[in-house]
Amino acid sequence: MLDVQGLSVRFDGADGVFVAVNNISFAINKGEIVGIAGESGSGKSLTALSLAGVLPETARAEGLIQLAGRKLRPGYAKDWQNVRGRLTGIVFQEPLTCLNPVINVGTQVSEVLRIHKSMSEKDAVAETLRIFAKLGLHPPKLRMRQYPHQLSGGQRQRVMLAIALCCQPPLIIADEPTTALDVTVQAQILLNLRNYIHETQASLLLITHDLGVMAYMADRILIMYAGRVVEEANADELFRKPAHPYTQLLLQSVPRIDRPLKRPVSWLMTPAQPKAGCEFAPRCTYRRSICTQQAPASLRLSGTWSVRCHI
Amino acid sequence: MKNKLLELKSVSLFYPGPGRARESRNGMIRALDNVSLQIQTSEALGLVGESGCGKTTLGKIVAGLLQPDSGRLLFLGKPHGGGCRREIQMVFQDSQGSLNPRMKIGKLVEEGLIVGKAGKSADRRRIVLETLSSVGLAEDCLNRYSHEFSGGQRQRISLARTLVLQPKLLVLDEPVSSLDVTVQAQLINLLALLKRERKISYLFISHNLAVVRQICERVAVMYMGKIVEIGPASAVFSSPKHFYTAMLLDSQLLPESSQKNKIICATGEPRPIINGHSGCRFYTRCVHAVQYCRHVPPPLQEVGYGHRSACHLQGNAGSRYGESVYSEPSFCYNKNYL
Amino acid sequence: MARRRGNGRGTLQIMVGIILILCVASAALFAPYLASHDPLHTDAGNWLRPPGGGHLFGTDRLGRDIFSRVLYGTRISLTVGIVAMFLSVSIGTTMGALAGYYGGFTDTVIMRITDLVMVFPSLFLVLSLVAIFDPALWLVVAVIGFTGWPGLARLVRGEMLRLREADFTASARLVGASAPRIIVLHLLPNALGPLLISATLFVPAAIMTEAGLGYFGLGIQPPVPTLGNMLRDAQFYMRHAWWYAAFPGLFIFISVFAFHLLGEGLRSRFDVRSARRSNYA
Repeated sequence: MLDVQGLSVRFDGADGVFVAVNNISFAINKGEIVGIAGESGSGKSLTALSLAGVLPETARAEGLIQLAGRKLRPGYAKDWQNVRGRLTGIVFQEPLTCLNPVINVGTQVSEVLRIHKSMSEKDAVAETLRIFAKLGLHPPKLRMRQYPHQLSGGQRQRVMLAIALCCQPPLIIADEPTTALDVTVQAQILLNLRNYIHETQASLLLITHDLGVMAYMADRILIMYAGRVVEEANADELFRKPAHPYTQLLLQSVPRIDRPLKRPVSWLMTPAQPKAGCEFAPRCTYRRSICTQQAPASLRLSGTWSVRCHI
Repeated sequence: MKNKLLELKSVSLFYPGPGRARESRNGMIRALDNVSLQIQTSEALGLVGESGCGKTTLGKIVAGLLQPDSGRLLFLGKPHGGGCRREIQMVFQDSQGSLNPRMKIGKLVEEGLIVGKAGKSADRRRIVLETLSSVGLAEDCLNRYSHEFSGGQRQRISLARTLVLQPKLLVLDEPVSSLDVTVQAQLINLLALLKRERKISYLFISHNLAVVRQICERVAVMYMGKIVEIGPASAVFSSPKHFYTAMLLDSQLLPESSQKNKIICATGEPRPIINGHSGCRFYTRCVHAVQYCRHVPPPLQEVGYGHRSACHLQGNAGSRYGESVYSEPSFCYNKNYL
Repeated sequence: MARRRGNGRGTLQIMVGIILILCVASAALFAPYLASHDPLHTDAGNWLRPPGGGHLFGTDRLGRDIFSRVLYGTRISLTVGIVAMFLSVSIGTTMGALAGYYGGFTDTVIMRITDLVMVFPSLFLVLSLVAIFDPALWLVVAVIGFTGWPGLARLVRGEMLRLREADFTASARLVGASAPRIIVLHLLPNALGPLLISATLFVPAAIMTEAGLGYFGLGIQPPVPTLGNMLRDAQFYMRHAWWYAAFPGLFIFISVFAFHLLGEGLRSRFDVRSARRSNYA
C-alpha cells in the first residue's frame, strides 16, 4: 500500500544542517495499523508531515514514497496535490486550529465530499450524516449544524476524523490524535478508528508517544530515536521482548497502576547528539566502545523484526 | 500519630454559566461543589479526574490563588483565609509559562528568599545551590534563562523555586503531563525522593492514574466538581466502588500485547452541569444507572477503611468495569430504591 | 527543536533607522559646532539667497543661514520628541500597569481618565494654554507628553491583563512577592517589547505634532528656530525660494522616517503575534 524508501528531512540552520529524519524506510500493507513511537524530537511528527505532503517550507526532504502505485517525491507540492484527501486522510492533535471557526462542521465535512467526490449537495449531506453517526457524533443532525467552538474536544476530534475519512482514503495518517483528550474519550475514539480500519481495510499510520495507545491499536510498531528507526517489530514481539535498549527504557518508564517504576537509568540528560556512532549511546546502559565509534546497522531478527543496535 | 495538615470543609466555587440564567445562582456552573477533604502531614494525596472536573481549581484554592465562594480551609487547625503563604507552594503543568522568561534561573530560585528577607546574599546563594543540586541541576544554570532548558529541567527549576521556601504542602498541578515518558519517570522518582527526604505533603493533581499511583498514598477522584471516591490508593485502584473510577481505570491503556483485545466500556463525555440539577452527576454516562440515581444525589459513604464513595450502587461495581456491564445489579429493582 | 525567532526579520530596517537617527541626533547635538552661522543673526543684504556661497542651504527672508537654523530646529524637534516620549511612557506605563494589575475599581477609574484624555482635543488645550502662558519649549513638551499617554496606557494595560493570568505571576504570588515587585520585576519586563515599539513610534508622532504646532504659530515662538515655524515662514516664499521650505521639511522627514523605520523594524523582529506560526516542529 505505502512504501517509503530512504526518507530524510533536513533543516538548514545557522549552525549547520539539522537532520530531523534520517534515512528511514518502511512499508504499510492494506488494512494494517502501523505505529511510530518515540519521544518529542525523534522525528516522528515530521515523518507524518512528509507523508502527508505538508512539510514546513524550511525543510528539505529526500527519498521516495510510493502510495497505491503512485510515485511521490516529498517536498514537491505538485506531486501531492491530488493525493491529499483522496488517497490520504490526515488527523492532527489539535482539531481547533484545523477547523474553520465560522462554518458549521457539517458543511465543512460535506464540502470535502463535494470537492473530492463531486457529489451533489444532497448526497454529500446524507453521507455526512452517515459518517457522523458512525463516528459517534450523536445526534448527527444536531452536530452537523454546530460550530467548532460549541463542540467538546472529543467531538471536534471526531469531526476531524470525519473529514479525514469521508472520502474513504486508503491511507490514514493520525498524528497524536488523542493526546489532548481525556482517557475515557480517547478510548472511544480509538475504538471508532479501529472499527473503521477493520471495516474498510484502509491502512493507518498512527503517530503517538503513548505506548498504551500503541498497544491497543498497532499491528506493527516502529520506534524512532533521534531521526532513526531503532526498532521495528510486530506489536506482540515488541511488547513481550523489546530488543533495543531504548525500547526497553521507554517501556520501563511508562508509569503503571499495577507496579512501581523501576529506577530509570540516566539521571541527568545529555541532549548533545554524538558525531559518530549510535545516537542512543550516551544514554545506553549496555554501551560498549564500538557504540561510540560506529553507527550500528539494521539487524534482522526475524522476518518482521529488525533492530539497529550492536548488541 | 499523623495530624491534619490541611482540611477543606465544604468548599464551593461557582462560575457563571452560559445563557440567560447567567446572573442567578441557579444558572451558575459549580466548578466545585461542597468539596471536603484532608491532607495529613507528609502524605501525598492524588487528585484525579478528567479535564474540566475542577481539580486545578481546587489546587489553586488550596494554594490561596483563588478564594472559594463558600466553605472553609483549615491549615494546621487554624483557619487559612485569603492569600498565599510560604508553607503552601504550587508547581504548574506548563513549565515554560510558570517561569518568568526574562529572569535568570538563579534569581528565579532565589526570589522566595529575597522576598522573605532570609539571610545574607552569600547564605541565599548557598541555599539556592543546595536546592538546585537536590533536584539534579548543576551550578552552571544560575545565569541562564528558562528557554535554554528542556521541559523536564524547567520543571525541576520550578520545583527548586518552591523548595527554597521549605513548604509543608506542595500542590503539583499535572507536573509531569507534558513530558516525555523517560523524563517523566525521572521526575516521578525525584518527587518520590523529595517527599521521603523532606517530609513534604503533596496534593498531586493529574489525569494520569498511573502517575498518581506511583507517588500517592491516598487518591481522590473528582467528577464535575464533586469528589466521587476517596481512599487509600491501593483500595481505590484495586477495587473501585464508584463506576466513574472504574471507567477511568478501565480506559487506561498499558503497553502490553494483551491490550489489543481489551474491551473498553467508556461512554459519553463530561459536560458542565448547571446548578439546580439533582441526582448523581455521573448519571448520564453511567451504564448501571437506575431511576433512583437520576433524582437523589448519592452521599459519600464509608465503604472500607478510610475509603468513601458516592454511588448508590456501591460495591456492586465490579473491580473491572467490563465484567459487570451486562449483569444488572439485582437490588436496583428493590422497591426501596424506586 | 528550539523555537526560532524570526531571524533577520527587520534587521535592515533597524540598522538603517539607527544610522539615520544617529546622524540626525549628532547633527542636533553638535549644532553649535556644525553651524556655519549664528542662527539668529540677520543679514539684511543677503536675504533669500539660494544654496551655495557660504550658505549651504541658502538664507531666509531675513538673511539668516538656513543650514544653521535647521540644525538648531532639529535639536528642538528631537528634544520635544524624546522628552515627550519619556513623559508619556512613564505616565502611560504607570497608569496601564496599575489598571491592568489591580483591575476592578482602580481599572475603571484609570480607564475613564484615559478615555477622557484621549477624547480631549489637544489643539484646544494648547490654544488655551498659549493664551495663559507664553508658548515655550516646556509647554509644548508638556502638552504633547500629557496628551499622548492614553494609547500607551491601554497597551500596557492589555499586556498586564494577559501577563497577570500567566502561571509565573501566580508563582511569584505564591513565593510571597508583593504587588509592586510583581509588576516591576515580573510583568513589565515581559511587556517591554510592545512598549519599546510603541515608544519608538511615539517619537515621530511627537515631532510631527511639534512641527504642526509650530506651523500654526502655536509652538515655540520665533525667533527661536524650530522646523515648524520655519516652514510657516517659508510658505509665502515657496515659489521663489524652494530651499526655504525644502530643507526644514527634509529634516522633519528624515527624523520621522528614521524613528518609524526603527519602530517598524523592532515590531517585525520582536512582535511575536506577527511572526508566530512561521515555523513548525
